[in-house]
Amino acid sequence: MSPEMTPKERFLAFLQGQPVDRYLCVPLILNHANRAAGLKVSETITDGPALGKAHADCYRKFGQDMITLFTDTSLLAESMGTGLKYFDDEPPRVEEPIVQTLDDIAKVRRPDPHSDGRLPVFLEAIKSANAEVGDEVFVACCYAMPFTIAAALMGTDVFVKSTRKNPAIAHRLLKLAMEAALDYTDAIIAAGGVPVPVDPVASCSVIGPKQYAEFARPYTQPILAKIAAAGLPPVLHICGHSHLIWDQMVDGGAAVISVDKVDLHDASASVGTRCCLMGNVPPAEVLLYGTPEIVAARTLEGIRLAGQNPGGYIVASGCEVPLGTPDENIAAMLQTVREYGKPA
Amino acid sequence: MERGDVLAGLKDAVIQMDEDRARALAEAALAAGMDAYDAIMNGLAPGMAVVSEMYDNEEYFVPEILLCADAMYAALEVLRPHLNAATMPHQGKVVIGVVAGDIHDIGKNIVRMMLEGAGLEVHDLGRDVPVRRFVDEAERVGADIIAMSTLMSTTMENMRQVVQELERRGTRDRFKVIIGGGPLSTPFADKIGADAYGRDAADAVRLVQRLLAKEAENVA
Repeated sequence: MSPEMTPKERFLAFLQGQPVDRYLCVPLILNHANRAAGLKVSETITDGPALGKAHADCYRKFGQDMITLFTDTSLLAESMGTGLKYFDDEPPRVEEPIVQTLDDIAKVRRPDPHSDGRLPVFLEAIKSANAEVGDEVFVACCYAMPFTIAAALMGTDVFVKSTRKNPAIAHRLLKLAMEAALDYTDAIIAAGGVPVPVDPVASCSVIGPKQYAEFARPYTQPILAKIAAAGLPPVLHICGHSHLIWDQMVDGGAAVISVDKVDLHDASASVGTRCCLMGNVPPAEVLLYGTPEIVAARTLEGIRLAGQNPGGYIVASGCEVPLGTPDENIAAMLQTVREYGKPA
Repeated sequence: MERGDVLAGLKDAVIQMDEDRARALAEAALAAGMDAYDAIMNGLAPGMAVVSEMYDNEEYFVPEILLCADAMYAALEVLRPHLNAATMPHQGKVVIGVVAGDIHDIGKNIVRMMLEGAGLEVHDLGRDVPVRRFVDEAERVGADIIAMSTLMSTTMENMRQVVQELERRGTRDRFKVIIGGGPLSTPFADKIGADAYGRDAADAVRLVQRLLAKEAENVA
């Protein structure tokens, strides 16, 4: 065991159950990578090589254990027909869902990962980041799971109501979303990236465990299985509350569950023998508005609560590191893990 | 129909997410000569209180709440034109909206619905609401409470600007300011000079009622 493993060596050792020099630390630096590289969101949003380079520059600055490419959860929905609104220095958001009437479902297209919407941007970004720093760090691409995609195809409120009022329509939309996500999973892997599924709209902050079982899990499971079949760790990130569905996330094929507003100790007691936990330094309260001392304390708290998790623990932020988070706070999170994050 | 049956029916229709039945019962209430305010406060409101409790207990989630809201609004639409302002007690006025830069409005809509279900007068400014509009509207309608929401960490700062705008105009003490949404917390509310943070919709209703009660106490 070398005293200074590269993030890639550390990740590989961790996944293979071999000794590591310290805990893995993955603040989810997504849009903020632009700021860390001195760019605005709009300067890379449709420019894959520039996006990849911004993330590489951000990695060189902080040395986090994984690069996480992502701009918004509407990426796949956009490639299927939903209209987004773009901004100068914020991620885009849904402006016009493609499915406004039931007939509109026929308009939803199965996207080509290499030509539709901004899907190719991320494939190029994976290649560009890998060309820059891929020898020492894994490049992940986060993308929405079918439940979250379907919400962006129909509008979240209409879609979640449809799960009760018109389940057949919800299932049709979810199947289309799943096909798109499966295709994109293949494309990410082929480009040399690690697919990291995220499903914020399926969180317990929105739907209950019964709806998760019927509308989210069956459509996420094949995607996680595809990732596992490629020899990669199936991660599932669900922000907000997730305490009622931890078992379903794991039973549905996630080897790593990335959690946000939950008690890590409870999560460990509940599913910790069956999965690795990732989380959950609070993005706004601690990273954006805290001080390096507060960040350090909260980072250590995570290690105290989940560091002994039988399935392993990865220090991470609970959700996206906010745009404009002070450099010293991100650095404090990593430095804390470097100094104190040595597994017993 | 007997008053008791109508009220129990309205309550149940809200809880059961039954829009058609809620509307029909509201019409039945009026046909039977019932006071619209009575039907709202003693039929719909207790229904929403149960919905709120079920949400707290993790029995209902967002889809159910939205459908309960549809049922409540279907009945309210029938009843509202028949409200007699002169005989109604003052329930408190709330101006609510999602702050500038953010369009995530489901949480705000749920809070609005719970507040209306609790009998408050709510002025919904929608989403992506500019700083000044919160203050202009609160002054215009004579609001007691300004309620702001955001799901995004990037737009939290706009809440501080609303508080600062109130201070600039010298009207900060005329309103209670409450905030809610994913990335927020009580320390953040304290930091920007808001009066309180609400964890969820049920909490927001309790907060508003507490703040209004305090206000009434101060006036008395």
